[in-house]
Amino acid sequence: MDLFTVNQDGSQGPQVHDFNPGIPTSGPSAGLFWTAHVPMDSIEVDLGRANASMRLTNFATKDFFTLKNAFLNAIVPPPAGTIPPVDATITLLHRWSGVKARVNVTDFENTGLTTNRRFAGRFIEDTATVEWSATVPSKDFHFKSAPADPSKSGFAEIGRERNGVFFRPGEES
Amino acid sequence: MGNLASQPTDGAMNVGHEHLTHHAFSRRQFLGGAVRATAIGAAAGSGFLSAPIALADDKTGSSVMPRPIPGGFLTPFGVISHHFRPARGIEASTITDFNGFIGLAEIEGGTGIGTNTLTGAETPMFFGMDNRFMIGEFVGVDGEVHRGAFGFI
Repeated sequence: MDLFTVNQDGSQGPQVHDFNPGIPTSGPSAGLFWTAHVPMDSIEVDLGRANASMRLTNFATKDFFTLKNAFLNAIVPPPAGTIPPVDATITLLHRWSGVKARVNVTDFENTGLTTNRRFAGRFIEDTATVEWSATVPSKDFHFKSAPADPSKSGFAEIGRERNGVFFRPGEES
Repeated sequence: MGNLASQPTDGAMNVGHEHLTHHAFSRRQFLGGAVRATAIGAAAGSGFLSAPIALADDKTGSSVMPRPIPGGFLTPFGVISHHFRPARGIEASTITDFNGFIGLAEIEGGTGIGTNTLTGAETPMFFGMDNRFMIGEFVGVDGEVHRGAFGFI
């Protein structure tokens, strides 16, 4: 979740906050990318009605300030100049609705790092909105977004996916 | 490399009715490589995806950590990003050995107000995000199957 200043001409300025849970650098979950446990009841999905929501309240995360700094913190040891993250909290409400397209995907290939592999999914491409706020106590900073605006939705989808050991190629035929 | 099947809103494909609530069941750039996906038929072979996932009795979810998807790309900073940028046909999940529901929300050009909590000074700001959820069953780092929910935030 990236926050940018606004230039005098109204254009987007430089990034000043980058909220994410970080990337574990050791252990069996090393490399897990900006992913953290959330409460089960924070998520509601109804594929039949093509809607879903995710609601988090005072979710503990980190502020890495910039995307580059977030990645540098995932290097062991961090390069000189890397700024350690600080504690932050996020409150957000995402909503997904509508049906722009229905997409079935399966990927049999196992050809390297830059490809998807061993997953299948059925997705409903739709519109997503968000209202959110963030607090960074050590920086005396609080952010509150404007009300949810569907026109700000980029690519969005909800659906069902299985991958890894749950992917069974024989089931596609 | 394969291709991708999609259907417009008025397409005939039936996703089926899947409903997940907490009662019943309760980011970004640097993408490398093209989407490699192979279509499956609108009806054939998709039964597993409409099969229910038993989450009914688990409202808190497992606290066991998952493992990242093997795919991804190398960022300019030398760090492997185990996720794919939002686009049709990508693997949306960031965790591997996963079977469940996902949501992906890319928001662009959002606006809001930043506040200095000491002075009260307010500053207009832009924001962007690629947030996702994953809820379902997964194999944790302990090798066991768990049920849980995750945010890519």
